Amino acid sequence: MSLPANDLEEDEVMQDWSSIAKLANDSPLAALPRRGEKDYEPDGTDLQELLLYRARDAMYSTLEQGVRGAVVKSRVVAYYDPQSHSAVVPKPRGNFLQTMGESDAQGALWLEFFEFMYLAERGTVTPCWKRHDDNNDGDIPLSIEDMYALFKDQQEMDNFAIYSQLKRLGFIVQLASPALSLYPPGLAASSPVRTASNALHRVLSTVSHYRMTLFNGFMYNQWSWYVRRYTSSPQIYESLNKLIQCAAVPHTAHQLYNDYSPQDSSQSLNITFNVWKPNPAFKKKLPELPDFQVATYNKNSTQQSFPTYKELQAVFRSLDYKFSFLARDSDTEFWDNNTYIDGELRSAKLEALQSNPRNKGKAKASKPAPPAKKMKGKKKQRTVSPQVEQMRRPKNGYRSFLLAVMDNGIISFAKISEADFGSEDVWYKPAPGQKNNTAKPQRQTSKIAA
Amino acid sequence: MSVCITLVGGAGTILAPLVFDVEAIKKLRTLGICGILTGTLPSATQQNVFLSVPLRLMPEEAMWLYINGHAHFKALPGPTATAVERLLEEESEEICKAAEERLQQSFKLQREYKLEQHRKKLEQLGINQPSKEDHPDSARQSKETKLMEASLFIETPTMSTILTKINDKFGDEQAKIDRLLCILVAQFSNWDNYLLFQALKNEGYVLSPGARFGGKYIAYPGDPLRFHSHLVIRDALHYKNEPLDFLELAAGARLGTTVKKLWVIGAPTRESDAHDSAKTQDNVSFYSVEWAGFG
Amino acid sequence: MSKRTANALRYKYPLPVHPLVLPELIVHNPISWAVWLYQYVRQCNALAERISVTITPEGNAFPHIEVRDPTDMMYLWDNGFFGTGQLSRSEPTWFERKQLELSKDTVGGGKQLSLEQITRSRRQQRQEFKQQREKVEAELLALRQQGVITPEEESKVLEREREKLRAYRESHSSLKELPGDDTSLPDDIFDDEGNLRRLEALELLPVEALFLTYALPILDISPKELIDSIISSDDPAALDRLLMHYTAYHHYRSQGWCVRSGIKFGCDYILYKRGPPFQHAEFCVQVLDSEDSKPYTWYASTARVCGGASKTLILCYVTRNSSPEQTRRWAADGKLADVLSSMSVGEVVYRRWVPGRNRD
Repeated sequence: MSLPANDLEEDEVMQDWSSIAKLANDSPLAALPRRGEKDYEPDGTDLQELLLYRARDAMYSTLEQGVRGAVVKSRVVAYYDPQSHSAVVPKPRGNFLQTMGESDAQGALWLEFFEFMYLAERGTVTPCWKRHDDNNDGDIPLSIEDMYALFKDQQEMDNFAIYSQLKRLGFIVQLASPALSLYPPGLAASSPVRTASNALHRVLSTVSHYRMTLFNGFMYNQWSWYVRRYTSSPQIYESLNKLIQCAAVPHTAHQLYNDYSPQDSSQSLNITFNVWKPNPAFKKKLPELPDFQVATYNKNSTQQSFPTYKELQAVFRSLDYKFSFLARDSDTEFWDNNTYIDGELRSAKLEALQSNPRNKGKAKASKPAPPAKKMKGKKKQRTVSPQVEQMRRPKNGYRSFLLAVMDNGIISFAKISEADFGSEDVWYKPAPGQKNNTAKPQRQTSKIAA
Repeated sequence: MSVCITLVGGAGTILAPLVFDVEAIKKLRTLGICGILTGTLPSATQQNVFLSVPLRLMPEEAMWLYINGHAHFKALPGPTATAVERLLEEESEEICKAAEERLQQSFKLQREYKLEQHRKKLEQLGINQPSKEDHPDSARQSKETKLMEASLFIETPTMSTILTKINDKFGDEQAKIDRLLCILVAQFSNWDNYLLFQALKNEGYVLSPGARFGGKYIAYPGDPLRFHSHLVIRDALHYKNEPLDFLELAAGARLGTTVKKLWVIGAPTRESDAHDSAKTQDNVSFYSVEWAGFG
Repeated sequence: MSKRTANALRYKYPLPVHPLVLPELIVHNPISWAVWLYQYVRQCNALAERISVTITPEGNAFPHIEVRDPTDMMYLWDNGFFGTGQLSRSEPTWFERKQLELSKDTVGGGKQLSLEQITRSRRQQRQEFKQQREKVEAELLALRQQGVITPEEESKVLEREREKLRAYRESHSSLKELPGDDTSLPDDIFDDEGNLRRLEALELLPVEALFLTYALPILDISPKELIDSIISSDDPAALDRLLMHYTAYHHYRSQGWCVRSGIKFGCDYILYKRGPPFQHAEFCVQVLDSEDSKPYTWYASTARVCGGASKTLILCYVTRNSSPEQTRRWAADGKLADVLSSMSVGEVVYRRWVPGRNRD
């Protein structure tokens, strides 16, 4: 049984530091040829010692030469403000502005702590301490070690590691916020009303539960088989599957609206980040709904346990992203009319932006990006047979989120989705031509009533 | 020569121990403590396979280093921001000056180096170095100087100078360190798992976090840069008191086949409290389960 | 007839209860109506004679639920793939295979190998391949120890040897029949007249047996009797567990899935769309109580094993809407309908997500 190559964990693919070392300047290891595979056990040979020595050397020199910082001309300073646990960049410039931070009225950029740390580690900003006294004799520069000591708790450190992991791969990551939502602004407020109607719903369903129990009691007993007749296998299935209730899984926007319940901090598991796929046309002030939402979990913490079903449901109810089962990713019209930014529809805001004469030039400039996306959308529009669709639906699920699991420094992700097997009937339906095949199978026994 | 590690306090927790000094990392590696690198590597910022300092240690690794005297610890009580503020109230001038000095020193070295390189290049090309008194070229020279100044590198240092000052003020009483490490193990692991770690370490294995392979640890017979990991070890099971579910046994054996490692159960046979056992190196029994007949 | 049509015919009915076969109804013809009605009333979906089941040993904590009659065994297998042959991989074919082996009137070539034979052959091949590989490794180690080789040379030698091993593997990939059986049996496999005894029974999972008596009228034991013989009265947790698992089993069966034991993959059940002979199973199911929380390692290891076998892991959470005591009381009274109406099922897909592969 062999896993496909790109499923291998980093551990199984050998870490070859000599290739990375080549990227660093003045590396004496640049001329090293690729080495073979790893060994299975120590064999005491000199050759093995040599290989190990070289491997370590490549790693150590890469680490030593990996100096963080910036050159004077492109230096951007960020000041850490201990009172708000965030950082301010008085003179912001650079590509990171496109996706990170928030500008204030004075044109300075405010960064969340993890954004500040990420940029400092990368060398994009120079970290300093913000001084409250107007004593301007100089900046107090911070070191990497200083910054790591500023984490308030382990969860914050873990969140930062997960943030960096995704950022390095090109994803756009921000804190989840109710300001960007699929749901109209009044919905959360109306939650007591909906809770009441849900409670009523539950009472009614208890009544129907009793009715169902009576029904089931009647249907599922010894004698029912002599009373009822089934003329097709699907009929048999259909009477069987009424017995057990299934959780209601929202498939449509309306159902989502009814089931939405914003998260509260008392929940054991919460969505921390909104994540977008790499997108050069990302508009920080007018973002689209995120492609994914991430909750973080430290598997070793004795204070946290893996969520129970109820806790998972609470997370599902609070999800607020571009649900893939509602519409295609490329269906910009649908999404623009269903995304609320600070209470206003995105489509409205886009229109306002375009009608603003100052922005007409900008709008034109940003147009080339969408066609590239549309092309990708077209590729995926290959129609698949209903059978394949049917297999895909339970596999992909409906509402889903990513669980980022931290294990003492190693991060793994799992996609947790709601599945709805109760709405898929999978019994075999013969092809139309075979419907009238009444031939008995060869191994016919005398069991079947003549 | 033991390695120095700072333990930072957070809100009700101890943060994971981090090592920033590359020399310390080298030393730890020779002891078989490899840790996990978690910082962005400046020379290759858009990938996650090769990362840089800081090195993050498991609670078990920190405890092992402490018990065996390979590392000494300093405690930094949280919240750190407050401690830094306080320090700055008193010593901001000094700190600023020291930082400025270091920067200027770094600039000086860089300038010298760049001029040297420039001179060598001109020599190679066979052009004579213009003398400094040539006036017509002073405009060009000042432009060159400006370019060079603009390209000087300002490093964000890895190691801290501020924290050491705070450390010195609060000291490193042994009793406190002992207690903090115990809290770390209790909050992010448990003593039975530590006993497992210790026993395997003493056999010469290098241990790494194993959750992505479905276990608590994975064990290498030597340095992970050179060897494959052979074993995936389950969370500790007490020898006498804890039962093992049969389905889990079957699943574990199957897991071993899937990830191509041996699935191992470690069972401390301790009679006394695990904490004390750790110091006296009590026995741990190991068992492995394999799916037979797979060939 | 091709294997496909043979399978389609043999496994025509997905359940052991067959729909009625009614004659064609010609609407305007009253005689046709009469014939049709007659058939409708006379036929019955239920089996004429129920299948008998033996539970051995009686009163034991882990009894086996067995179906011993050969025709019944095949009937249950062909109509929904229920149960597992105790001496076979899945389908109870021990008797036929043993007879074939003993009679020795056909030599391997030409005849299709049984699943069990294929497995044996593959294992043998793997053994041989491993021996070859070990030889190569020993040679390489010797080279190293002699100190005659540099790392660069070693990589080249390694690549060459790899190629050779690959070629070896390809040339030895045909499956062949191996002599002897893998299980050694006692001499008393023959009865007094020298005929081969039928030692194999079809063993049913408790949930399968419960399904075949409660949901479908197949077995000759009542649901209450069945539960009483497999669960001892002083183990209420076992009863809760059985009911929880039955809820999940019934749920998937009634949606049309063929549900079988998932022990090979370290999980509770696996779901086939039609059955084992058709396609590999798509899903692995782990059944959990909705209040349950397992350590993360449990989820990670199951997901890893399922993922390695190209299956999707489903966590099936069963929510109890009544108290456990109430449920047990109902079960004790044989009121399974009440028990099952008070349960509800919710599912979650748990899949490994790799960020690098989800960027576009």
